[in-house]
This record gives sequence, structure tokens and C-alpha cells, in this order.
Amino acid sequence: MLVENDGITENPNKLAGDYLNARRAELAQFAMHRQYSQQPELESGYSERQKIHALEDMNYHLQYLAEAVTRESPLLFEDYLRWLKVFLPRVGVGEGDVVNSLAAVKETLSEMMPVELAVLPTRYLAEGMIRMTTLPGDLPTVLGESAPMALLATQYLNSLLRADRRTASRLILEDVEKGASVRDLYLGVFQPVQLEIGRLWQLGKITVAQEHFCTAATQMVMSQLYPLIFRQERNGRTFVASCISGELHEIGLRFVADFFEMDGWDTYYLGANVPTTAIISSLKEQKADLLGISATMPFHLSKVEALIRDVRQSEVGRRVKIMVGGYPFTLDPDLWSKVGADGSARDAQEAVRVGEQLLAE
Amino acid sequence: MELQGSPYSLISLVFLADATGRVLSTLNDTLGLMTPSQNTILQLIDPADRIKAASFLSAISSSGSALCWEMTVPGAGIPQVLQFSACSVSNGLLVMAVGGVSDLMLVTAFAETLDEELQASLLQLVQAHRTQCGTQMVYWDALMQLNNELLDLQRQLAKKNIQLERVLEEKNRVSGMVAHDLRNPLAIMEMYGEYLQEETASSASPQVTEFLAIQQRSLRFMRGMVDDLLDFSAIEAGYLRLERQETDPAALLKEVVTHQCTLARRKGIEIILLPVPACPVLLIDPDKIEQVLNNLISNAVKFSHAGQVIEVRLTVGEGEVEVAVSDHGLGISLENQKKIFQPFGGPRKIGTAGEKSTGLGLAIARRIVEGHGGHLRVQSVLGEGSAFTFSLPA
Ligand code: B12
Repeated sequence: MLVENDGITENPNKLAGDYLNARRAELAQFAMHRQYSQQPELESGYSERQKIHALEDMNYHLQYLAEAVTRESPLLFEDYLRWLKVFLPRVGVGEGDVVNSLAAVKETLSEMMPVELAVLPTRYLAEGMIRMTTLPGDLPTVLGESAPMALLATQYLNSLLRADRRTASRLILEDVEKGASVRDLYLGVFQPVQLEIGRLWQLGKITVAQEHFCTAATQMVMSQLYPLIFRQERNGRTFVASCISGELHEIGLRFVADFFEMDGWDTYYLGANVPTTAIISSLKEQKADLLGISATMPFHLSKVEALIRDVRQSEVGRRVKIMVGGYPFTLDPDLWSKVGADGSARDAQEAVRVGEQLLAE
Repeated sequence: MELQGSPYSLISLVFLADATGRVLSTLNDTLGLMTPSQNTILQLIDPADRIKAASFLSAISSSGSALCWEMTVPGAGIPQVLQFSACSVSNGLLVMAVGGVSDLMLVTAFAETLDEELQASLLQLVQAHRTQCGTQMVYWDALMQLNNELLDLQRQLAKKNIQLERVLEEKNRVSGMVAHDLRNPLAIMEMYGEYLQEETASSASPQVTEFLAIQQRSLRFMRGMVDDLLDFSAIEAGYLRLERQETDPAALLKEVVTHQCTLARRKGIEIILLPVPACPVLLIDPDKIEQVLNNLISNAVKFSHAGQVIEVRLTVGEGEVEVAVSDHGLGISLENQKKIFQPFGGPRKIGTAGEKSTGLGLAIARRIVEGHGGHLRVQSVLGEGSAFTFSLPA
């Protein structure tokens, strides 16, 4: 589709992204052959199984490349490379082979893609190959001893890993009683613990069940703090928070909504399963000043873009400011403008600051 | 930080068995789970899971394979839940067990050492196992989604709760303020009313005297109501302050009964205080408990007929003292018994001599008793009378 319904010509980056997505399987095959012809020892040395994996990897390269190109965001692609560098050695693929496979994709694209579309993808690949050598190959913990609440966070995490959510919850509530602020607990304990859980999962040290349990338990503990969150004096402003449908990562947005609430805003958390029309009517009903949208999976970015477009087309949407956030937006500080939002923030504390600024404008 | 025991213990168990589950040869066993004494699948599995193990075997024989069955293996020490998959091969069954999806990599690596036919079967089995686990991910996702939605509801509820609390506080504050502001003008009216009654006692016509008396009664009733309202909103706002002091409940009871007796006699009603047993000294707020006693006894008087008797009884129980006020008056229906402790909850009943009630007395009494850690309850039969009993911890 070259032209959108409303007659605006699609931007060339999106065209390049669409091209990569539409012809992904074919391009991956070509790139694979190219790499084998350059490194015949691989083809003869790989088992059938390894060959399948290698082809899967080519597909992944193209999938993430497509998303990064569509958003004109080399940082999204770099995050993928960072992940590759940690992950592939664990399944016996060397860094050299990865760089070669990226080179094979790059050469394939130069050869097969229309020149004007190939510019951005080949540039990202070229830069990525250089970047690959300097990216860290390990996953450092965020719970280092220098972290401000590292001790409590570590005790809390250990309780959760023992499936002991009562102790975990007691640790937090006791700290509250001693005067700890809810904001500090969110950003100093819950957030780093979530990231650490993600790290342990990637390292294969915890199971899916443990990861799900820890997240659910933290959500529960957060809800025990609600009575503290909702007690602030109101400041007359309203924030509506919504995830993208299908997005299961929602703790981040919950943080953001709770921080606004603690700052005196009236907040409505809609979660991830609210259709666009209902989001719009909620904005109207609550007389919202600000809408916050969160997405973690990069493939949800086009849904974010579509949601923003739909909201802006509605009557209430014309006066509501829109902020976006979540994992991809923390990687690329310019991504928010590319999906049509008014602003973004790296964490919940900053979100409130930016939100206030947007409304003051 | 480092974890002590990793859940991924790198478990790969691969073996061949015959159709009945007898182990023919162990191909790979990274944890040494298979011992010489275990020569069937059933023996390998924890006894609690053996019915499942038998079902596993029959599933293979009926459909050629079984994927991702979770069964417990006693192991050496701690029992482990392993995921079993198996398929038929030319010389029997090929069985594989892993600790989790990530262990499939081990099995794949091991497969390279097998002959071509077995290798192909094992790789296929690994792939099918992986796909089956993918199906399980759907449930993990669904479970997380469910949890997220529950939390959404909980957040809404917490927010609503606090909003309601605020509204209630506001309401109590307003009614407290209104009551407070009504009180002074009422007191002034009452005072001037009394003055007029005295001044005109000899000169006024009988009609004026009667009107003045009615006005004074109404004023007194209104002031009582305002006082109750003030009491009640203070209690609701969390200001029930108990000034506890060592008090002899028997003495307090006698004093109140004596006072109430004079009032009751005017209506031709007798109050009997049953013999009081030896009674411990209680740490209570005597003024507040007196208020409760006055309320219960005056209610009994209100709803009794001339010539009837009211009994007041104090008993000492295990760790508590109980006071019961029983009358033989109008009684309360079962349905109304549920409402009388709510503010303005009971029916606005008129006493046998036309006495009115503020509608707050029992609500206040119950809160005072509960504030002391006791209970106030009612037993009553319509037409036969009521007994109100309250306890105070000793
Ligand atoms: C917990 C978790 C889950 C949980 C989420 C549960 C829940 N109820 O939220 C579950 C188990 C469901 C899950 C599932 C998956 N996950 Co996951 N998950 C994580 C993990 C470990 C932590 C996320 C988290 O809680 N962070 C803590 C919060 C507080 O941080 P945050 O989200 O960044 O939010 C802050 C800011 O971003 C900002 N912010 C957020 N939203 C907004 C909005 C606005 C308006 C503003 C202004 C700011 C803002 O403020 C927040 C607070 O300070 C991350 C690891 C990681 N490094 O992030 C992986 C991670 C996000 N998951 C990942 C993956 C791959 C998946 C799955 C595909 C895995 C699978 N194979 O099933 C699925 C996808 C499910 C789906 N369709 O959404 C990848 C994503 C990689 C990528 N970008 O491509 C990560 C990064 C792990 C990894 N390194 O591989 N996951």
C-alpha cells in the first residue's frame, strides 16, 4: 500500500520497513546462501538443526531491522544487537559469525532492494557491524551494592524467588512504617527488581513460572500501598493511562499513573484491553488533560501511532496532550515524536515533570 | 546476585523402552536419574504420579506420541517435576525428559551423537515438545492478563473507597457543624421559655400555660436530638474519646436505676434491680456507660405499659461483666431488630405515652459499648417485650 486512505503519501522509511516485512522470508534465504558461499566451512560444519537456527536468526535480523527502519531509530536496532551479543555465544554462535551474517544481509539488501529504499537499512547494518564489537557481552545486574536501596531490593527479590510473597510484602510495609516514601520504593525496589528478574530469566536462572510469580507478587504488594497513594490533595488535573491491546507489560504504566496520583492528579488506569472508542469516551467523561500510552514490545509501536492518530481525530482529542513511554522509548529518546506524541519520559518521576510542563505550555 | 539452586539443572534424560514401559537402554542421563533397579517408566516416576505415567504410556500407544507431560521424579533427594515426551520408533518407544524448555538445547546437542534414524526422531520430538510448550505460553499469558485485570479492578476499588471515605467525612463534618450551630439558639430559646413560664405562672390563661409547656417539651426534645447528633458525628469522625477510670459497675448501675425509677414511677412502671453479685472493678468511662444505661432503661420505660415491670440484671461471666435490661412492653419485630442499631434505622416508634425518640440513641450506645471492646445485642418478641444486653470486658 503506497498511499494511505486519507491521501497522504507514506513516508519512505515506512515503505522500506513494509518492504522488509513483506519479503522477509525470501530475503533471509538469499542472505543465508550468501553467507554460506562466503563461509563454506559453515555450511559443511553446521548440522541440519543449526542450519535451521541460522536461518531463523536471519529472519530475526530482518524483523528488528524493519521496525527500526520504520521508526528511523538505529537505537532500536542497536538494542537488538546488544541482545544478540549476550544471547548467541550461549548457543555456540561466535561474534564473528554474527557480524558476517549481518554483512550478508546488508549485501543482499543492496543487491535486491530498490536503491532509494535500501539507504537506511544498509546504513543501520553497516553501523551495527561496527557497534557490535564495542557492545558489552554480559548482562550486568542493576542491583549492585551502589544502588540506593540495594539491600532492601535484594532481600525483597530473594523472598520472591523463594515463593515467599508474605515476607516480601512485610519487608516493604515495614519500610513504609519506618517512613520510606512510596516513590522511593517504586523506583528503588520494584523497578530494579523487575529488571533483575528479566536478567535472571535471560540467563536461564529462573523459569517462566518464577518470572510470572515475581511480577504478580509485586503487583499485589503495590496494591497494598494504594491507600497511601490515593490520599493526596487533588490538584484538579486528570490523567488517563492506557496500554496497547495485546501488551502484557503494564507495571511501567501503573507506576506512571500512581506517580501522577501521588502528585495530586486524578488518574484513571484503563489497562490493556480497552478499545479506542472506549478510551476516547473515557477521556471525555473524565475531562482528561493528559493521556499516557505505554508500549513495551517494538511491534506494538504502529498500534501506538494508530491510537494517537485516532484520538487526535476525535473532538476531545484536540485538547488532550498525549505522552508515550515504555521500553523502546527509553532506548531511543526521539521515538516519541515519530509516533506523533507530545512527549515522553524515561521513568515515572520524570513523566510527572514532563506532564506538568506540557500542560503549562 | 547469585542464586543458590538454579531451576534449570541441565536435565536431559533420553531412553528407549518397549511398549509396556520397560527400559531397554538409557541413551543419555545427565543427572543419573536412572538406577539399575528402575527398569520401567513406572518405577522411575514418583508413586503419586504413577496413574499419570500409565496414562502416558496408553496415550503413546493410542496416538503414537505424547508431548510435554509433567511428572515428578523422586531423583536423588529433592523431587523434580520433569516434562516427558515420547514417540514410537522402530524398536519401541523413544522417551525424553527435560527440566524445562531451555534443556532442549542439551537434548539437541546430544542428538548429534545418535545414529541417523534415532537422531531424526529425537530432533522431531524436541521440536514437537517445544511447540507444545508454546501452547502452554498462551496460558501463562492469559493468566498474566487475568492478573492484570484483577489489579485494574483493585485499583478502581481502592480509589472509590477513598472517595467514599472523603464523602462520608465531609457529611459528618457538615452534620456536626449544623448540630453545633443549632445548639446555642436552642439553649437560649429554652432559657427564655422557662423564664416566660415562671413569669406568667399566675397571670396567664390556662391555654397559654399549656402552649408554653408544649413548646418547652419540644425544645427539650430538639436539644436532646442535637446533642445526640453531635455525639454521633463525633464518634463517626473517630472522636470517641474514652476517659477510662476504675469504676465499680454495680454502684454505677444502682445510681442510674435509682434516678430512672423516679421517672418510671410517673408512668406507673416499676424498675427492679436484681441482686448484684460480687463484681470486679472495671476500667471504663463511667459517663459514657451511664449514657448507655440511661438510654436502655429509658427506652424500656418508653415502650412499657403502666403497671408493667422492668428488670435490670448484672451478671459476672468469664472475663466480662454483662448488664441486661428486660421489659414486657411492645417488643420489636425480627426485621426491625436488624435496623435499630443503625442511625435513624429503626421505625420511628412512639412510646406508649406518646414519647418520641431521636433515632440515634441505640446507634450511639452500640458504638460506646464497642469502643470499650464489648457487645450490645437485643432479644425480643413482638408484643411480648425486649431484652437489651451489653457486655464489658473485665
Ligand atoms: C515483567 C516482564 C514481563 C511480564 C509483564 C507482566 C506485567 N504485568 O507487566 C510478562 C511475563 C507478561 C512478559 C511477557 C513477555 N515479555 Co517481558 N519482560 C518483563 C521484564 C522482566 C520487566 C518489565 C518491567 O516490569 N519493567 C519495570 C517497569 C517499571 O519499567 P518500564 O516498563 O520500563 O516502565 C518505566 C518507563 O519505561 C516509563 N514508562 C512506561 N510506560 C510509560 C508510559 C508513559 C506515558 C510514560 C511517560 C512513561 C512510561 O516509566 C516506567 C516507570 O518508571 C522485562 C525486562 C526489561 N529489561 O524490561 C521483559 C521484556 C520487556 N520482555 C520481553 C519479552 C521478549 C517478552 C515476551 C515476548 C516473552 C515471551 N516469549 O513470552 C512476552 C510478550 C508479552 C506481550 N505480548 O506483551 C523483552 C522485550 C525485548 C524487546 N524489546 O524486544 C524484555 C526486555 C526482556 C528481554 N530483555 O528479553 N514480560
